[in-house]
Amino acid sequence: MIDSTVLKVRDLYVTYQSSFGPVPAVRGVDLDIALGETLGLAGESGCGKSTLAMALLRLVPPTTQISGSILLDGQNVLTMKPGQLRLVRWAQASIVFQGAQHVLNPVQRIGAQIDEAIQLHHGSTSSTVREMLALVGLSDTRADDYPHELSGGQKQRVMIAMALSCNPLLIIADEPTTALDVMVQAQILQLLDNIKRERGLSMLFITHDLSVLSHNTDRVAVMYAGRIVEVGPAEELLRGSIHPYSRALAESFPIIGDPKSRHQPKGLAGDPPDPNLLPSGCPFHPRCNVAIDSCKSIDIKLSAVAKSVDRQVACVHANDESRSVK
Amino acid sequence: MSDSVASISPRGMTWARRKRALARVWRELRNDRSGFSGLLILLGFGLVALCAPLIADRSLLLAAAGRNNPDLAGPSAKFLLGTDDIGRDILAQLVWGSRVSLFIGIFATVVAVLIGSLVGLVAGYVKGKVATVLLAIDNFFLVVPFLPLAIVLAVILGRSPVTLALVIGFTSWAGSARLVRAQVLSLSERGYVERARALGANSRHVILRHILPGVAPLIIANATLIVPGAILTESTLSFLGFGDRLSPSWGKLLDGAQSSGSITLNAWWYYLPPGLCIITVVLAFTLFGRALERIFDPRLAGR
Repeated sequence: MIDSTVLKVRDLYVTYQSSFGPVPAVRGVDLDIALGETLGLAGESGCGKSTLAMALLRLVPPTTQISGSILLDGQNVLTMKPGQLRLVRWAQASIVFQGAQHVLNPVQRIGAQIDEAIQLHHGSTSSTVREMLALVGLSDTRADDYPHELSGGQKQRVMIAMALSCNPLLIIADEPTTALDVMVQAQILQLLDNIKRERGLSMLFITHDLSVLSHNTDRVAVMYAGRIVEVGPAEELLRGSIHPYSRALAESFPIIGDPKSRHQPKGLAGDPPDPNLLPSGCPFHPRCNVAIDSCKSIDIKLSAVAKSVDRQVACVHANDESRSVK
Repeated sequence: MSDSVASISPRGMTWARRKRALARVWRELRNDRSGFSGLLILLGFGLVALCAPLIADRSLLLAAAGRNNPDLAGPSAKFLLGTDDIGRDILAQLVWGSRVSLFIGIFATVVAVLIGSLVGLVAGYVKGKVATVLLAIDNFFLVVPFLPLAIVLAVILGRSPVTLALVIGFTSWAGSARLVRAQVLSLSERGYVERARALGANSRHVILRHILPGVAPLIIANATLIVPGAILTESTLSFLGFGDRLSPSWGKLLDGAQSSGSITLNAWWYYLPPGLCIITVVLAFTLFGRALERIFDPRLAGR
């Protein structure tokens, strides 16, 4: 079990320095991703999911404080020297960024940009630009195009080709399908899924769109205000969320075949809290419809649920009979 | 992906694209009336400077050359622009002077742009203490009275055209450093720079591959705007007597005109031509530089 763990994050804190003082963006996160496993990470904008993703490769501003441990294939990323860190980046874990059009250099050809990754790690990979383009279903004449000559979906394919070019163990997909239309979204998700299976890769799939996670992931973690509030097997968690926040997230999507849900989409009032001014106790209590008095004072930690061995929830109601796992 | 596209080689497509990009710059320059006339004037002066030996023999510049000629004679068929106070042909000096003035103007600009770009790149990319120190030095060169500094340096370093160009370059890089730094600050926040870091790139790679290509057009446009300043500075230094005594520049002609009293003697053929040449070349470089700036800098597009 230990040997097959590709990523092991323990007690991770990421605190940005701003002119208003320290901003805690990630507050004590534990994560495990096994070889070949896909973990979905869901949450609203500003809950810290992208910060968590970038911190995995220490891609945060130099003034940012990171504590805890991040073991990538057994090596602690947080104690690496810069040279070693550069070798690990992309070769061990690569990133499919959100918004490919900003991440591709507009004045360089596609092929040159994929080749950039290959050249930077030329000792560890023998991939060619042509192979990589074929892998993501693009013709190799595309190598000579500039990013603006490609559609949004094609650009995202290029990003995936780039992410695969150094044979990483782990792919961090940071909202890879935002800003794509639904048809293209489905194609990209299918492509990621196929490649992951073929190559036996692990993936951290970050999204705010829970509907995307049900098909693509083995386990799902829901994040709120810099913490994981619920984690469990994808199907189970999405069908029967225990934490009131994950339930609200799940209910905000209509269910196909259930007309009632289409006519009454449920939202969640309020905004995610400002990391500078976190509410006391459980950070979710001001927006929670089942909050009790003790929620205002007791900051409850993630703990196992009696009903299911694989699930952990951070809520006082976690073991209530009335909210049992379906 | 169609047959017609597949039949062209990638290299051929690259060349076609480069040609199109060059053609775009050319077309925009053609449509920019002031920029294009600036370019034509510069080409004219460049041609004269290159062909100087064909137009006038270098021996005409020697003091001995004027021994048998009338002093301060007005324009005539023999001396199209008259003679100076020791009887030398002024046209010959003007033609050879264009060489010195253009050489110093361009060489000084290369020096200034190299220093300015390096300081701007480092100050914009590294941030922190190094940037603070570099910006302090930059500010010093921006505010220090320029002419006294250039004079002191010219006296210390000597008076050949090369050292003069170095002095001018060394005292006029501060503005372009500021410009480059501002652009680097903006570029280094782009997504593709973050991607390059995630790829495992070091700073050298990020700068050479992603940042320098982004600031290069700005540097080129800025360079054409430094040249006129450098030519004026050379003229000023020569006029004040800190130029190279042996090489005839336009500034030195003005110096000669002033010290020989040609202004009181109303010998306009001595001081007017070099003055007009300086103004014309400076104006031409400015017009051309502004046009390049408009073409290369996306923020100025359509204005």
